[in-house]
This record gives sequence, structure tokens and C-alpha cells, in this order.
Amino acid sequence: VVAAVVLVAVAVNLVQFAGIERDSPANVGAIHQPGTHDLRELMYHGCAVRCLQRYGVSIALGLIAPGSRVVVPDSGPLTADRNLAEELFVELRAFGGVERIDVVGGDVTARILGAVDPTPHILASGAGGTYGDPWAIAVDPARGPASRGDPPDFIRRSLQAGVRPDRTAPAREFVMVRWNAVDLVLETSLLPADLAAELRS
Amino acid sequence: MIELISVLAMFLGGCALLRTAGLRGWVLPGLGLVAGVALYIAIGVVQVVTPVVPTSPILTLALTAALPGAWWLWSLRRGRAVGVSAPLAGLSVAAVAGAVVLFRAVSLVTYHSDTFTYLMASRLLADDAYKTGISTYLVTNRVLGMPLLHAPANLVGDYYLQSISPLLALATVVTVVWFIHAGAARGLDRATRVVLIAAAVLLLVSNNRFVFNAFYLNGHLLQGALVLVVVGCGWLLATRAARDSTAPMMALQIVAIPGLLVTRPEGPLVTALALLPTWISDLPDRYRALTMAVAGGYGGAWFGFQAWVYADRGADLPVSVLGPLALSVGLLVGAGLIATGRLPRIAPPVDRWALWLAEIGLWLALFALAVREPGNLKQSVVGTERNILGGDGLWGLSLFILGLLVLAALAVRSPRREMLRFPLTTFVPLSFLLAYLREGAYHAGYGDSLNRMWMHVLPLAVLFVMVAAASVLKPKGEPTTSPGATDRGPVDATVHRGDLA
Repeated sequence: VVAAVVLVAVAVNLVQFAGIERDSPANVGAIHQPGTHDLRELMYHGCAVRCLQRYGVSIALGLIAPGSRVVVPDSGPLTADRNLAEELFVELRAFGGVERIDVVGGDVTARILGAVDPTPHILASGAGGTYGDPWAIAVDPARGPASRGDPPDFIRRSLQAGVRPDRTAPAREFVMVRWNAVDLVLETSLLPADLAAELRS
Repeated sequence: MIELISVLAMFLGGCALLRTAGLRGWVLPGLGLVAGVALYIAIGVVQVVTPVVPTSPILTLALTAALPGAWWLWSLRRGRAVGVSAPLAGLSVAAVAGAVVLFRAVSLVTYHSDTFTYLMASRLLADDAYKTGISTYLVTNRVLGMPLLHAPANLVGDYYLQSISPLLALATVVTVVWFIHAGAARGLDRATRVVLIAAAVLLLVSNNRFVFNAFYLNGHLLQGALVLVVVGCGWLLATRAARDSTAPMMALQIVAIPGLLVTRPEGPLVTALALLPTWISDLPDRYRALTMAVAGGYGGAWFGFQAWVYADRGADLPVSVLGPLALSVGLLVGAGLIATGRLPRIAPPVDRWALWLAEIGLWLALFALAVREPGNLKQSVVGTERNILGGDGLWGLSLFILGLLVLAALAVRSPRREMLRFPLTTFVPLSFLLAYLREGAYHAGYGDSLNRMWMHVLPLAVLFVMVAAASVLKPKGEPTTSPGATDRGPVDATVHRGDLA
């Protein structure tokens, strides 16, 4: 009797196994073979909306310039909420490969945005949504990458091309500010030399 | 290559630990991997909470392999019988290495949004940026177990080890088999024993969500394995069924405690419930004090570290940090009192009443919260019903049927069954209590917390059912365990006095 009861339980497990697989979204099925173990690709294919809204800026920065330094002005909205700022910094480090984050004092945001129009330099961007704000990354064309395309398509394009973070490349420096409701990551070499030096110090 | 090195370091370290403690035979590779993973986490926690010491997984792996390895070599040189068969050892290593290669080749993986937050913490650990960079949210909600486990992958730019979860799933199955073989199935004829073990294995591996968890990048399988080990070892020790494995079971239970504390946010509560039967059992005072001291010491260190993170980031200390800190201090005091003989042992049958009182206390606490805020419990129950019976949780009817088997098993008496039952049945009120302590009620859907947390007790539930089945199948009058370990009544407390000497 005991064996029969357990056998019935096992039989039920086996009979319904395939049905559960059919009902499961791919990434939470028991047997899921995505064809890659690259976490960015898993995020893109299995968690596209949530992950790209929330981590898009970090993923893109990690593909463009891993090992970089990011400066964040203390007076801006990015640091107004301590919890959100902490989370953002962790994401930048973990998925963006950011080596160093410095929060700097002084109201430099207006001077940064007054010194350069980032629009023509935007390499990657995301629309944002429920899980994150819109974002954009503006890079110095002199430092690459050379090939450019539609900024909102940057992550998909890079993953499809098999781009991997190049950790041997020289570290780059960015400043992160809020620009027209967009979280803008701007390469400091686009700024006037004195302003870039001020951020560096 | 780093994945192979990582898995082998954990495997060899765990095997060396248990072999030196006295474990031998076919079970050594399976339990060795579980012990190795647990030891690796225990060492990683020390690195995290100790100022100046880097959190590099290279150091964690080196210590995981070297510390037990050195103990094993030292014991071997002193002439202790801890040798291993070279061909079998080589075969085991080759099998594990082959499994690593295989699991990397097939690249099966399951994940959802929580996965990525755990792996963020993992990256910070590998970059030695955890202490300065971790956020207050992550340090309390995406705790250390799973991030530590996958940290080595970051050394080569990956984010996770592809083979460690499926290997841990296999080792969990072996652990269930071991507990049945060493504890429940004694006195049964060979054929019945084989059927019982086969049934346990099939119950686990045919379960869709068990297979899912074998490849899931989250801490649920790890938590399930550690709950099984801590509870199962306590039970096996108390039944005196496996006298020749007393020291290895003690070593395994102790080494699993830190991992159980740091794999889930509710770790301290789960650890206390998993160990309470051990603490009030008739096991030697020194052993009970040691387990309590490990739980209190590690809990104090880990939640002390969390408190430091909050202070360092200028945030107010939450109750979720202060509560476990207080509990840890209480455990350390308790350990001191037991060790010095100032805390009298609770004599049977009051020890069993203590477990019932604790369980009733959990239900009363839930009742009180439900009276104050009924909506939370109502929503949680409705969501859970849809997950278990309605298919939303992707369990099919597996969990429901297993629940029925557990209910049936509750009616069967077996030696020291309360040690397995208590952590299992208290999971229900504890889970619904947690709904009041976390962000909100549980809901229908595969991603719901409780829906995924059932994995924490799934292997234990299968063991509990099989222990009951073994009791039913035993011939009348067959001694199930060593003298003294009875279903009720006093047990000779001196049986194990020498084990820690």
C-alpha cells in the first residue's frame, strides 16, 4: 500500500511534467536551454522589459567602457534619494563594471549641461518605464566605439554582434547627471578641460 | 577552468572534512559536496564580516580546500584510519569534473528578476567591493549564500557557475537517500530498503519544480539542502541509528549552520526552528552548546556587519537587523549557560511540550496579526491556494499530493520523529507570519515568494514521508534504533558523551 501511494504520487509528477513545461514561461520552465550563459543576453531575452528599464544604463556602460570611473554630483536628483542612489551605484559596479564612483559636492550639473549638447554624442539610450528612468550614454567619438547606430538599439545590436566588455582597454571617465528627465552618462572628455579637471579633482 | 577549480575545491574540501571526521563509503562524495558548499559559505561569511580581509573568492576557495585538507593529512600522518581508496577517489573526482563539463556544455539555466539582484552582490564580492559598495537593501534582502556560491565565476567575467546548482541538487538527493539508509531503513530487508530509497529519489526527481530549482539561479535549492542537512543530522544523531557516523553528522550539522543563517533573509528564524529540536534534545551538553554558539556567533557577526553597513551609509537600523542581533546574543548566552551546566536540561516529556509550545506560539502570533490585519492573510491564503491547486505556481498537483502524504505521515509514530516534524510543520505558520514582516501578502503566480520557498522544505518533506513509510513497513517488534532512542520517554544522555572528547 505504501509503495502504491508513493507510486501514484510519482506517476502524477511524471504525467503533469510536460504540461507544466508547456504552461511555463521559458526562463522558469524546468528545462530551459537558452543557448547562452551570458547574463546580459539572459536579461535581454528573458527579462527584457524589467531588466532593460532597470539595468539598461549599466549594461550599456559595461559594454562600452568597463572599468570606468563615474562622477555623480551630490546636488542633483540622482543622489536625492539615498536608497535609490545606493541601488544605482551597485548596478553600475556590478553590470557596468564601473571601477570607481565618486559623489562630488558643488552644483556642477547646470555648468555641465550648459557646456555641451550631448545629443549628437549619444551612443546608447533607453526609454525607461515602470522599473527605471529613461537613460542615455554620450561618449567621446574620439574614443570610440567607431560604429554607431540607433541608440535605443545599442544593447541588442552589441549582444547580437557578440560584443564582450574589454577589460584591458584604458579606463574612461564619465559624469552622471539628470538631463531633461533622462539619466545622462556623459564622457568627461566632451567637457571643457577645466570643468573635467574640476570633476576629476 | 575557474568553474572546475571552484567545484573541485568545494568537493575535495567537504570530502576531506567528512572523511577525517570518520565518514566512509558510497555516501562520501554526495555529502562531501554538500559539506564543501557549506564550508565554503562559512569561510566566505568570515571574510565578509572581518575588517581588512578581502572577500576574494580565490581566498575562500583556497581555505575551503586547504583547511580540511590539512586536517586530513595531519590525521593520516598520526596514523588515524582516514585513508581513502585512490582509484575510488580518482573516480569520484573524475565524475565531478565530468559533470562540470557536461553541465557547462548543456548550459541549462532558469532565472527570474531576483536572480540578477543576487548576482549583483556576487560581483561585488568577487571585486572586493562588497563592504564599501553593497546597498542597505541588498545586504538585508539578497543575503550572502547564493552570491558567495557564484562569486568565483566573476573572476573570468561570467556571473554564475553553471554546474554548482545541478550538482547540489544531485547531492541533495544523495543526502535524502543517506538519511533513509542510515536512519529510517535499518531493520528493513534489502528489497524493501531499495524500494523505499527508489521511491524517495523518484518523488524528488520527477517533481517539475525540483528539476527547475536544480538549474535555478537563486538560493532556494541551497536553503532546502541546508535545512535538510541541519534537521536530518540532528534527527539521525538523536535516534542513535548511525553510531558509526556520529562525528561526521556532527561536523556536517555544524558546518551547515552558517549557510542556513545567511542564505535567506529569514535565516535566523529558520535556523532557530531547525535547531530547536537539537537544542532541547538529549544530545551531549557540549554538542548542544557548540551548535548554539555557532548559530549565535555567526548570527551576531553577520547581523553586526549589516548594522555596520546601515551605520556607514547613514541609515537607521531596522528591526530586521536588531531582532536577529538580539537573538544571536541570546543564543551565545544560552550556549555559555549550557556549556557551564547552568541551564538544566529539559527532561522528557517536557522537551516535546516545548516544541508544541513553540509551534502554538507561532500560530498565535499569526492569529494576532491576522486579527489586526486580516487582508494580508486572506490574500496570502487565496494566492497560495491558486499556486498549489490552481496551477499558477507551476507545481501541478505535486505539492498538494506531497502535503497529503505528509499529513498521513503525521499519524505514524517513529523514533524522534518530532525532530523532523517540527521544522516541517512550523514552516506553514512561519511563512504566513513572514508575509506580515515583508513587503506584503503572497499572491498567485510562479514568481511569488512563498511559491518558491516551498523548495526549502521539499527534501525534508520527502524524508519525513519516507521515515514514516519505513516505520509502517518495519516488522512488529523490530528495534528501529539504538537502545534509548525511543518514540517517547527518556534517552540515555551519556551515549555520546565521548564523541566530542
